[in-house]
Amino acid sequence: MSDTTKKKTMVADVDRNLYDFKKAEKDVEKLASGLTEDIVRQISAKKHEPNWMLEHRLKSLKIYNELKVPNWGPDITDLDIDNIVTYVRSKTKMAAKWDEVPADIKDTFERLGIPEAERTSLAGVGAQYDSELVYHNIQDSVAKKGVIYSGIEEALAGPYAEMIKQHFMKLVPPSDHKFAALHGAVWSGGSFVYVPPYTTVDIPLQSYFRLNSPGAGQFEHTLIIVDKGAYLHFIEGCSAPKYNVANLHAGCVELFVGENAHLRYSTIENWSKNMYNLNTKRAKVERNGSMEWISGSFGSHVSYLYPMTILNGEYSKSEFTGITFAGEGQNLDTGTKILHNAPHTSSVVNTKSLSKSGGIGTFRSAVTMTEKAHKSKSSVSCQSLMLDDKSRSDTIPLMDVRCDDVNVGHEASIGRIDDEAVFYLMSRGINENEAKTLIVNGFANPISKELPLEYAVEMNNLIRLEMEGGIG
Amino acid sequence: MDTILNGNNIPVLTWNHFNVNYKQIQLYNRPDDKNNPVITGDSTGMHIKNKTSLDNFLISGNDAKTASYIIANASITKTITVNKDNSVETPLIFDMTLKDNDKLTALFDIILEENSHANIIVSISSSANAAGQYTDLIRIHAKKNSSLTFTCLQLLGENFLAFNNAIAYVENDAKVTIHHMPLGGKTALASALTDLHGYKAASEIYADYIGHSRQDIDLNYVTRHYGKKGLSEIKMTGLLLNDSKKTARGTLDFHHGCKGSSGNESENVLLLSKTAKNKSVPLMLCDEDDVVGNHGAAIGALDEEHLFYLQSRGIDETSARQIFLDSAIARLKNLLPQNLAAKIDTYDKEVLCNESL
Amino acid sequence: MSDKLLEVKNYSIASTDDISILHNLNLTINKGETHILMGPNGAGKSTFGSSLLANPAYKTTSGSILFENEDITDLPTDKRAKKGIFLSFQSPVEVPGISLYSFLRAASKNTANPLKGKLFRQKLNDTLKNLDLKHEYLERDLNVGFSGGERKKVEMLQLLMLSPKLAIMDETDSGLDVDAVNIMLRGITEFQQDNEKGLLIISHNMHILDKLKIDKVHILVKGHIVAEGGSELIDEINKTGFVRFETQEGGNNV
Ligand SMILES: Nc1ncnc2c1ncn2[C@@H]1O[C@H](COP(=O)(O)OP(=O)(O)OP(=O)(O)O)[C@@H](O)[C@H]1O
Ligand SMILES: [Mg+2]
Repeated sequence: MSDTTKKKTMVADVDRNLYDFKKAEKDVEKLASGLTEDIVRQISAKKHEPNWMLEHRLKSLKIYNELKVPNWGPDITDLDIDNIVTYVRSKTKMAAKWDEVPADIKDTFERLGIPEAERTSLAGVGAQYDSELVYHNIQDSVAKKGVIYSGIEEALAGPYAEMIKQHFMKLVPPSDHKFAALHGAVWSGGSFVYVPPYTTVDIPLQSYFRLNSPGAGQFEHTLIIVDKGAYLHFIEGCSAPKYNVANLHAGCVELFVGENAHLRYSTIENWSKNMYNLNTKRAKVERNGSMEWISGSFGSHVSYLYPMTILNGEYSKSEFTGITFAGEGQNLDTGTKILHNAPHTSSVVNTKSLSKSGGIGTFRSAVTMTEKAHKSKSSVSCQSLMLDDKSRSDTIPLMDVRCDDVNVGHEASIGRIDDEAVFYLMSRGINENEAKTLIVNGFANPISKELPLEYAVEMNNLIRLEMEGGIG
Repeated sequence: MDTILNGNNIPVLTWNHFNVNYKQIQLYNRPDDKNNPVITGDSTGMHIKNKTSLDNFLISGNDAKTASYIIANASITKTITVNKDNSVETPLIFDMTLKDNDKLTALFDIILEENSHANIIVSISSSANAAGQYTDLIRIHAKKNSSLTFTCLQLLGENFLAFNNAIAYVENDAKVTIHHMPLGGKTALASALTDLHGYKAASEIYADYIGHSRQDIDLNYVTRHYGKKGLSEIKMTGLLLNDSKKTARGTLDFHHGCKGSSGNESENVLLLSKTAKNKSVPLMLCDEDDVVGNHGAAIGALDEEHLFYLQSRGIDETSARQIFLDSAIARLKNLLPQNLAAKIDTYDKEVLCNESL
Repeated sequence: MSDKLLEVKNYSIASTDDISILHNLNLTINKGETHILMGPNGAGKSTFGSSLLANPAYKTTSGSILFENEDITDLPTDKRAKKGIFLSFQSPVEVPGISLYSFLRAASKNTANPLKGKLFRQKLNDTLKNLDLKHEYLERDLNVGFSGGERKKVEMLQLLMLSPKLAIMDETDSGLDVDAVNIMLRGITEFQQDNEKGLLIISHNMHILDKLKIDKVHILVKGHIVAEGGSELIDEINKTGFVRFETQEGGNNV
């Protein structure tokens, strides 16, 4: 046993090493810890943003001070907001050429494989380092179609300013919850995407977020508008090195899916295990449009993450596919919310959750059928796999039905690896660990096959590494 | 002054704005009105006294405040002890009839000695349009290899507030079945908690309701697995008519060490009215790997495929709704002795007759 | 003998999401006749049977259905059933929440000559006994947890209780044990005695087809009726399978 324990530790180190390199903080200016009106004004002033945005920030700050932290979900008392340096900024300008990105930041992203991916399989890439975007680029052919992919702050000063004003924090109002208000007050960086009507972006756009400073927060805002009949696949990746102090991520993603439009939004979240990930994501879908979420949660110390879809137009659809792997020291509370607010809407939710080495995984969901949701359908299925008896897995779904001619189904199951399946594989000459790894990968497979290839490979590797030390 | 408390607390909180974390109720503090339960049926090998026995009970219920209110207010207190090795098939029935504006609080302790088996029914009813308040707490201690079927039939008038609570401590190889039928009342709360401590301890919780007129039904069922190889089932079935609403919480809670346990939870809600409202929160909490837990919920109108099958036999949609209602009533009647089944007939005639389908 | 019971004319069917399944079918069943519908798996036999009862999973894209010379193409399911068309489902649906008894009670009220109280119970008891079905089943939810064979027996039970004018039997024999098949054959033979009634039997079982009086056989392949004839067609299929017909599909039979 001691042998395997040792190996496990070693493996875990190797695993994290990929993301765990730190960069010395140089050329940075930091603002004082804690959140005051003064800090908010300073942030705003530095950004030379329109006045309505400053007002928005101040209003959000007020709401932030009034709201309480949630009384449900994982404990976040260790997250003392006064200790979060809310704004950390690297003294660099955003670049549109990779060569212009400062060497150490460039090195970071190169080690994460970002430029490589851009060359091979992406239509555009944005990279955020701490609070600011450091790099943004879009392929000419895509830009020619009229597709906009730029930093949101930059876009606020351009021809799309009015469009942004009309949509910014309209889906996720600062009053939504305390961390949405925090976001509204101190948001910084993030991307703006606009896909014009009937435009198909064949290859995905990607944003990559990296949080490098210890004890920092990242509050990027992503606003995507997919107009009538258009198609987009957007990929989001996140990582951070591990520090002993808590980091906070309170980003916000707002997605507007127009009539007959289709948006696919994939995320692999692999923040380091000292991260408080209190991210809010929301999509609104118009008539006959469809929203697809692919969500993999592997990192973070604590996560509150429930991408929400508002099905606002007749025949609109939502599909949510998610996997959460809670390992040592992690408390990951993830799931989804769906609001059926028009006739003939449909939603499908499929999630898998794995808990290991004392990790806590919670699946939380809410499906609402409003009085308008005639003939709508929803089916939720969630499966949890317990990999040892030290871990925990909870399922907390909710169904709120206010319309009679609907169909709402829910099924969930929990259990461990089926002994008989292990026996079957072993009877064919496969060793126990290999058998279990195969089974766990098989469990995750319906999700990983929805991921972009390089992420699927990464996810399978993560599982393999986690499993290598043996189970239980 | 009234007591205001949060009943039916969910074991783990979720989003507040859905209003499912608890149900706030207002209870009278005035003394109970007199009531003498009519006891019929088979009490061979049982011991009934008018005092409680489980005052230092091993567990408290889902809500401590509700329990202390009932303990403080109870004017009917009973202990039913089923002797060792005693087995009775036919039910022992406690029948309480309340008058308009009555307040009544009952506290029953049921102790099953080793190897004993019993079937106990508590029935509470009043005239169809009466008002008032009824609350109860049934504490069950099922010792080794015993079994109990406990049924609670609540047929109070349309302006009543009713709150039925049951808690059970279940030892080795023992099994407790709790069947709630919260059919009457304007506000009908029901809650049960079974704690499976023994090896191969088992429990089954069933709730059947027929939401009608403006009834507000609020359910909270929890099974906690502690012992090894426990077996549990929570099943809630009902239909909602008119402006009725229902909230159901069901929790399977697997504690560390309950290896080899298995639990199953299911809910079926048939919505037969445009204005009925349903909330369901089926929780599964798991702190142990060697368990099997499943839950499923189906909420909605008549399924298209089902409807086609019925229509292919010449049954139109309205009649289909009627048979669902009739079947629900027939099923409940089948579970009860004749005199109580007759009360359901009366309820069907006097209360459900005005429901539009 | 030439009184038309069912007449299907230029009948095409598609699923609600527009996958066309049946193409331009023509078929007439006269009173007193027994027809057999055969064809490989997936040919569309069940689709045809259940579309005759207006299954909402399908839509009629062309043609019409006449029952006793009345156009019923636009009639909903329950109205068709009331006219006397019965479908024995290939996979009878589980309907939780309704007991078999209350279901039978309600269904029998809709027949041409509903049996009252005692008579109904008597006939029910007799039929249950004939089918070797336990009385307790009446209290169970409709088809829920019934074995495959039991469900088929419950379909037979309904057929016998409701005594429709036209019975469509979709593989009612499959999944039944030898005794049950014989019971079913007896039931069918009895049904055939009434020459006001008609039968459309979908089956792969040559054994039962041997034992029945058969008036006409239709072969359905990929949604087309590709051949029609007497019981000699069954013998042919018994020997050579559907191969000959499969190559024929898409020809000018359409
Ligand atoms: N609702 C539907 N939507 C799409 N396709 C359908 C639908 N229903 C049936 N089909 C397809 O239509 C074809 C005919 O199916 P059907 O069940 O009628 O075959 P069958 O002849 O009864 O076969 P079997 O002998 O296996 O019972 C199949 O390919 C089936 O998959
Ligand atoms: Mg078929």
